[in-house]
Amino acid sequence: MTQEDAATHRLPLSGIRVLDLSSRVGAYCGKLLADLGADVIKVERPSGDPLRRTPPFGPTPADGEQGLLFAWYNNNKRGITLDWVRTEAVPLLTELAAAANVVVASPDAREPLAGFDDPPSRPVWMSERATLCAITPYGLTGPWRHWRATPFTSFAASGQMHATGPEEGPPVAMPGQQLYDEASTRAAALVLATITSGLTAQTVDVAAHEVGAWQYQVIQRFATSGRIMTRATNFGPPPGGVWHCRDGHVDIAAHSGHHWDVFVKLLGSPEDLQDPIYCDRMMRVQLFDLLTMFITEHMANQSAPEFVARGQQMGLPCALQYRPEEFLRDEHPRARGAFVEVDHPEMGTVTLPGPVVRSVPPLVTYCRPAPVLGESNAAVYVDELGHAPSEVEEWRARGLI
Amino acid sequence: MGSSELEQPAPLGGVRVVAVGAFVAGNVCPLVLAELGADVVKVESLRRPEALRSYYSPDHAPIVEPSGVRTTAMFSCLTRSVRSVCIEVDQPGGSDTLRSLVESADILIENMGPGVIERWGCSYEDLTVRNPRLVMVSISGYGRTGPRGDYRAYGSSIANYLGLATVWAPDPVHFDFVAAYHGAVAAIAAHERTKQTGAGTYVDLSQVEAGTAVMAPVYLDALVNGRPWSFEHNEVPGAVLSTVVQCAGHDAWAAVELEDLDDLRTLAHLLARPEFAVSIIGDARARAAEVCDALREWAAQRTPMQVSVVLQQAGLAAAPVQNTEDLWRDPQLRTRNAFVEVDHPDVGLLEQPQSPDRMSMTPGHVRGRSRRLGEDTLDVLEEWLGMASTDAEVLRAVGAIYQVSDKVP
Repeated sequence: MTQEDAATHRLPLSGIRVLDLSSRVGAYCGKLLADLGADVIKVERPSGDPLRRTPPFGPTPADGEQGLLFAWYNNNKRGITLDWVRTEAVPLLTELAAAANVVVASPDAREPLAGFDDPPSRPVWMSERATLCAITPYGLTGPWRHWRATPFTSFAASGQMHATGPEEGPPVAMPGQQLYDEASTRAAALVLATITSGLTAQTVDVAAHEVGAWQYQVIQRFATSGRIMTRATNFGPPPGGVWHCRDGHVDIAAHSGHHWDVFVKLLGSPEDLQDPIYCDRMMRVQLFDLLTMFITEHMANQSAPEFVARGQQMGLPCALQYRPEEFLRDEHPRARGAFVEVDHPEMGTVTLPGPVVRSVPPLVTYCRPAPVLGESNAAVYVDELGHAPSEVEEWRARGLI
Repeated sequence: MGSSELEQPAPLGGVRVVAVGAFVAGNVCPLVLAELGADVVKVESLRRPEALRSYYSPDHAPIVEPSGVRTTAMFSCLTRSVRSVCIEVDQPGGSDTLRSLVESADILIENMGPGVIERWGCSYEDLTVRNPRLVMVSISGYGRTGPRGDYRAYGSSIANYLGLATVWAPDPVHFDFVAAYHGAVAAIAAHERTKQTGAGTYVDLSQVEAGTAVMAPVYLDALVNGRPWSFEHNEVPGAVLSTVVQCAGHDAWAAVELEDLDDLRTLAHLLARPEFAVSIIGDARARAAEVCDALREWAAQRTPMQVSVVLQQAGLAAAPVQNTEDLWRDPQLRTRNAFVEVDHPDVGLLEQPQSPDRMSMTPGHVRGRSRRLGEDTLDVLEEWLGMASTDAEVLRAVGAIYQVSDKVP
């Protein structure tokens, strides 16, 4: 095999084994590592991961638990069952962890992981050599470490919600669980960093709460001025913002100095936008209300797709405002292969977002749908760990797997 | 960044990164690598300083560096831990200097507009002639190919295009951060493969695709069943109840989510309304609405923290909706030392968020203040390229590079 072939066929994490004991806060970390070629084994309790029972569901939910969130967050992973809250699970956790380079977990006081009684101290069943990557809503230490959280309540605490929504309230949460997935993405970067440096014998403690607080830089802003961001209209300088057109909406992001000139030209240089003081960004902030009145009228006559096409040609960063389902029909993501058809054993063929990273040569691959419950029990417990099928049968009878 | 850093092991110690980028995505991706110990050099231009340096901030008066170039608190926060090299690519010798720098690097991160990096002679094909091990991460709004591949984009463009604006808000920076984190994952993964195989990688990372992944919960029902997202604000699919209740105090709110019927019973008992808990199976949603009214009444007499802690003690998911000041005082963040003071000769002493990348042995952390434009030009050219000071002086004389003259500790 030539060097080029090797690079083409080799994924960065091939040969790396990850034991994934995380809940939804850490689910995306294991998925990213699996996309990069790691053998990620999702370990579910025999009752199945809660995301299997969380809507939305697949096309024929009556036939089983077809949570689409489970199908998304666990594609490319293998799956086994083990009731990891039971003390009897410790010997098997020990064997599983011994074969793993990385353990991803989301310690939760309501569903404690056996043998992991005193975070941030490591689980009794983990070797010192492997990376323990904990991803939790609030972290392994601190007064809120045991707080129960959902994506909704975590987002509320993170500082990103208070300034969003109607001025009179209530504040509005971002739908989905993007804060958790951002924490998981940073955690995946840390796992990769331990692997590439060989500094694996350590514990990673990523808190979604901290990632959110870091991200919006609110600490720095408050420390600078004492300003509390509010839900009042943000008077950014026109023409920045979203405008109604005759057949839709467009967003304009006019952050550079020359964007004002481009915008005025694009509208055919109307009389009321000619005053040279408008070229000054500060003046446009000051005269927000006046310019908004003028621009609203001009934009109402535009066709949104034509405005965006012409605007982009002239170098104005502008975009169509889509509803989510409109984006999914747009030709651009389809042309880039942003979605994959997944042959799911219970749901049939379903479309899911594909691995994120496009590269030459490829760094990621899609290779398997999310596991059905306990799909790889025999492969892992019998073929890899060498237990007799009768032993496995006995664990199943006891409800351990 | 100083020599003392070299003595501590760092997960990305010894990895050389060139960042040619701007705004949030182009600075945050290199920042994550820098705080894990990579030697990150941000290439800037005195003739065309990036917009983040002169961005209007409602939080402070304009700040000017001795060179006359402006800076902001946000810039100093998002470019800390990184060194600044000033190269003017359109001056004689400028693009050659940039190319030499990248040819001696492990990773190049760029988020310039369409075609810019190619015009500078720094396409991946050009660069790998002499550095076949190079990992190049090109971050853009829509990706570098496809029908919209030549579009210019900012974070708000992507928030609108992906549909986040219609289901939530047209956030101006959210997808910059999402893309930056995915860029860090791709950069480290590709670098690891280069160590294994000797071959480099070109990464075409788009905010649209990174955004599509984290938007999946909003898309899945539409993708699989053709059912568009149709939930009200603050409504969580599958939850028995999710609500934001007004509390005692000015603009004070708490978020509460009941995930199942057990939670509903618990809350009914806590509110001393056990009648709601009886025959709850019948119509959980109607019951939830009644309990929600009782919750509003109860919460109105208490602060967000009182509401959250009492509900937490009962085992329920609740949290204060924290504003900027709450977050600054946040007991969880304070206890975990999530802040760090960073002093800057022009910006002053500023409290910033510490790296959230907690690793027990090699924690991510601030490696130094953000630099003045061109503060490290001569040092980096000497360290990375072994450039003699006489050669650097020639480049300086023709305006191909710029070095701040005043050295500040």
